[in-house]
This record gives sequence, structure tokens and C-alpha cells, in this order.
Amino acid sequence: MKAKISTRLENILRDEQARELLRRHLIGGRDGQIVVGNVRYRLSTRSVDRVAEKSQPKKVVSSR
Amino acid sequence: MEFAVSAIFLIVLILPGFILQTAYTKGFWRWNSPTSNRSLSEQIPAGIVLAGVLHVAWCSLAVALGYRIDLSAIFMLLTGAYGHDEAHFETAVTALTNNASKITLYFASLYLFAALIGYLLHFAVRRLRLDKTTRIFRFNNHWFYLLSGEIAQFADSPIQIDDEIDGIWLTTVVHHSDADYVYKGVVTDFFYDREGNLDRVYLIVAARRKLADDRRGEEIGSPESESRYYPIEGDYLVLRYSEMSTINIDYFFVVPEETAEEEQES
Repeated sequence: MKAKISTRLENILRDEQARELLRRHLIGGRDGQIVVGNVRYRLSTRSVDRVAEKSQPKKVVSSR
Repeated sequence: MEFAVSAIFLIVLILPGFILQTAYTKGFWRWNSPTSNRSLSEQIPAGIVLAGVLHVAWCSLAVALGYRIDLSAIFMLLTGAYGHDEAHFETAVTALTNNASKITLYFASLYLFAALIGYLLHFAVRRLRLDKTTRIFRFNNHWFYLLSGEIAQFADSPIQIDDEIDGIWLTTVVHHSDADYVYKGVVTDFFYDREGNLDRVYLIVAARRKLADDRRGEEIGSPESESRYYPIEGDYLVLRYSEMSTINIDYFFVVPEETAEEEQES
């Protein structure tokens, strides 16, 4: 049976450096940032952070 | 001989009830879905009742389509009572052999229907999230719900996570001959044994330390705290459930922030 691994987590796990950073963050039991390519992820073990994240307006960046 | 015929006929008769139950509780084999583990003593009464309901429906349909059901032959085959000196045994067997193709069609279509109904019900319960909102629809497989994070979506769960989790961080203590060790890793797969209990768990990005090597004043997440662990080389770490003494589960989330490229542009 497959455990839950989201596409975002799969992206992190495919990148060797990001995977190592994920391991260190999780071992340390702390939140942190992980960059894969040009995407920056915020790792959180608390669902409330995610809810707060979703409630914030998205940053709009003009393409110029 | 008559006893054997009755036993076989009884199995053939109640089989659709078991097929429906199995299809419903286990789901399609490729679905990543909970499978209920029920004992035979629970399955038998439910199987008989379900088989009865299915036969009533299928017999009604057969009669509506113009077929005749020989109930006396069924009763004789089922009970093994063929009258004085088994005078009607030949009649019952003839009723079977003369209509072999129709009887085969009846049972084959009923078995197929039972499997289809079972899978459809399983699919509907999962699709409509009934197992998360209503306890009666919940499959008897707490390991699936725990290791998929769906337990936090139960209406009656003290921990509520509305969104889907991104991963599961498992911490467990495993006893070795020299000492107890703490293992940590992201769960990728888990497997059940024949009885439906958790058998083994696959971890990636795993690390371990001695249990005795606990924190000594340093803060959580500090380099000193992390240095107690060492990464386990290899792609997958397989842990047997029977060797784990305690398990801690952490659900974690990875939220994409703005892209680094966009940040540079801004």
C-alpha cells in the first residue's frame, strides 16, 4: 500500500540536495525552507501553518 | 454422496454473499484504499444474509425474464432429503443436468453482479468520503487511515487537518542486541500480513541513533541535537512492525512559496 507522498514532496525527494535538507529539517523537528530548481517550499509539521498560509493573499509578481 | 452434493450446492449458493463482502471490504486490488480485516465468524452470517438478498433479486429477475425456478429441486439439493428410498434424487439431478447452461448463466452473472456491486459500494464510500464522516462506513483498517493521514480528516478525530498532508514522518524504537535504536524516516509504502495486520514499513531519507543518546540540554533542532543521528545509506529502509516497540507519526506539509526566479525579477 502506498503511503501518502504528494507531488510537491516527490519533487523534493528527486533532488539529492533537497532530500538531504528535508532529512535534516525533519530530524531536527523544525520548519524550514527547501529550494528545488526555482521553486521554494516551506516545510511545516503543523497544519495550522498551512491554513495560515492559505489564508494569506498570494504575492503578485509582474512579469515585466 | 448426497451429503457432498448438498455441501457443494450450499457453497455455490452462499458464494455471492462472500464475493460481495470481499469486493466491498477489500476494494479493487489496484486501488490505494483501506481493506477491512474481518474474521470468518463475522463474515459467515453477513455472507449468508447477503447471498439471500442477492438470490431473491436474481430469482425475481429470472422469473420476470420468463425463466422457471424449480424450488423443490433446490430444496432437495440443499437439504439432502430426496424422499423415501431417495426416490427423488434422480429428479433433482436431472433438473440440474437438463438446465446446466441456464444454471451456469444464473450463477456466473450473479457472481459478477455481486463483485460489481461490492466494488461500486467501496468506490462510492471512498468517493463520497462517507468513511471519514460516518463511523459505520469506516473500514476496519486503522493502519491505512493512520499511515495515509486520513485519520486527521475523520469528523470525530481530535486532530483535524482539512487539507491533504504531503508526507508522513515516522519515528520508531527498534530493539537490537546491543541497544535500542530510534529510527526516523519518510514512509513510502506499508504492507499487511495474511491476517491483515501491519507487517512492514518502507522508509526513505532514514536516520537513526541510539535511544540512550538522548538530548542533554541542547535545544530541539540545534546542530548538537541533530548530530546524534546518522543517515542510513541506501534507497529504502525496511522495518518490520513486529520489531517496533513504539511508533510516533508526524504529518508534514510542504507549501510552495514564490519561485526563486520571480523573486530575482522582483
